Amino acid sequence: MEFDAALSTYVVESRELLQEMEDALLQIEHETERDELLNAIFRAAHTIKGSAGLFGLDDIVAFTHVVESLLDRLRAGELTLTEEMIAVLLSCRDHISTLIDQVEQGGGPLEASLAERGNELSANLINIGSLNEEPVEATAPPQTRHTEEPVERLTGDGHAATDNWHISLRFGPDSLRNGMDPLSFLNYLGTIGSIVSISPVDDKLPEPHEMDAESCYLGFEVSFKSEADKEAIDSAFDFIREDSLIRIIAPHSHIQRYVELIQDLPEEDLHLGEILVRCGSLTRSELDEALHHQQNLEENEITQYIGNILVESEMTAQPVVDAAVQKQTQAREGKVREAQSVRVDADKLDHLINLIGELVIAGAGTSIYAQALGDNALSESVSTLTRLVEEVRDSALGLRMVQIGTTFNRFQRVGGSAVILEKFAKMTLTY
Amino acid sequence: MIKYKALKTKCRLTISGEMTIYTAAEQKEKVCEVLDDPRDLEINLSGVNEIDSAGMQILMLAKKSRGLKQYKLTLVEHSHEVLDAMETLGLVPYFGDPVVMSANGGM
Repeated sequence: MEFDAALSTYVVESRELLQEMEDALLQIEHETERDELLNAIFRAAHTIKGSAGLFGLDDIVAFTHVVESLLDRLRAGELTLTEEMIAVLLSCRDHISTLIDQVEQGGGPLEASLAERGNELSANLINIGSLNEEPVEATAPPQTRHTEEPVERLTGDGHAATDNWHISLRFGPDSLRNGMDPLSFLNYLGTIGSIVSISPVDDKLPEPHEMDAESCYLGFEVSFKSEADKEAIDSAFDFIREDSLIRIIAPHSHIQRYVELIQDLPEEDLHLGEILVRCGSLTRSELDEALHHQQNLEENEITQYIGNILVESEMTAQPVVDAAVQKQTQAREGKVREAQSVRVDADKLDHLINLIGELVIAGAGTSIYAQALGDNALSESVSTLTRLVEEVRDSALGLRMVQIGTTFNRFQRVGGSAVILEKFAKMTLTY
Repeated sequence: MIKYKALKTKCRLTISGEMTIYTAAEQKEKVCEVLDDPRDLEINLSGVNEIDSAGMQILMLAKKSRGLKQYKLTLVEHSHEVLDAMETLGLVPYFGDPVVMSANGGM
């Protein structure tokens, strides 16, 4: 997937998500069971923000973040959804849509008017959110690095003391060629938490003359502080999961998890252990414990052979990973099935319909001649032909029909605007 | 663009413009030529106005290769853009150079 292709996929997907978001927002007003719809709205915003981060679309990330924060609080039940809120959220959706349009037209810095509109809406959102106070985290998320010392606690029960996530990344060789720059991923992580420390791993870098400058050889060990859940952190790497190696360890995980990590990764164990200590993910004594643990395993290996190690390192982790991957694929397939429509140039469609019109006329002519001739075989074949032509005609006329659902959705939006402006709107239909 | 200059005790590369995936192949070749030189190497980065992971990877390659051969690699006058990327990727301690912003802000 080339970068441009990936970006245009992003634009298309975002449009779909925005449409879902709009539908859900319009529907939610009349629903009593709101949880599911709220989740759908949240998911849409979250996905748009997540992918925008990957492409370095900071304006979208910053703005969507505010929207997402409010939605999150709605979801958690801290706030209740009001009609006014729905109206503001709809305007926010429109703003995101404008931002996406801008991306499609080649990006560039935001026009002043757009930026202003964004700020206005953000302020509006925060205003609404603060009804039952507790400041919403506004636009610029913390970008600090190397500042916070990992809090060390002696737990002594075989769990790592650190409060931070540990993320191991080994980018696939094609990452750079596909426009998946490690820099973008790390920048994105910086928006959903803060990178406490990061150590590069260059073990895969070959001899200078053997290196392919467009392949990616980089790896990173990251100690990461975030309130986000595993799924959120994990989803940051959706685009590179296929050919990259990604391991995420939750705060306070058992030392065993680190042992597995050390075994899983391609680098030499001791070297990797040092990196983990440098990252602050393991303390020195924890590392010793882990390595000791591992040595024990290796000794056992002689007697119990390799099965043990497999169970310890692979089997425990792999099924979970596999299950997650499978689930994701299913979700994606489901989505494809939902939106099975193709855009076709209207001119082509008109041409097709014209041709079918001609075909119907020509068919009718043939059928009359066949009847006049009185040849049974010919008549039969012509009648089959006529039936088929009729079916084609009917379905071709169906093609030209426009689904009016979306058209009428707009009128609901008028209703929403009317609420904001405190005015009445009247709709008259003429035929 | 890469300029090469051999001094008495070391050689110096001055890289300017972008160091990205689009220029990486060409720049890597140039850097590679210099890496065979049995002297310390200094790379001046004051003119680098855009760098991505592919560009950074070339600098890492130089560092690693110099390290194996017991010669020094010194990066000097990092531009703003280079510093940003180095900090994000945790590479400041990796290169271990004193980091001083070039006087003209990297342009």
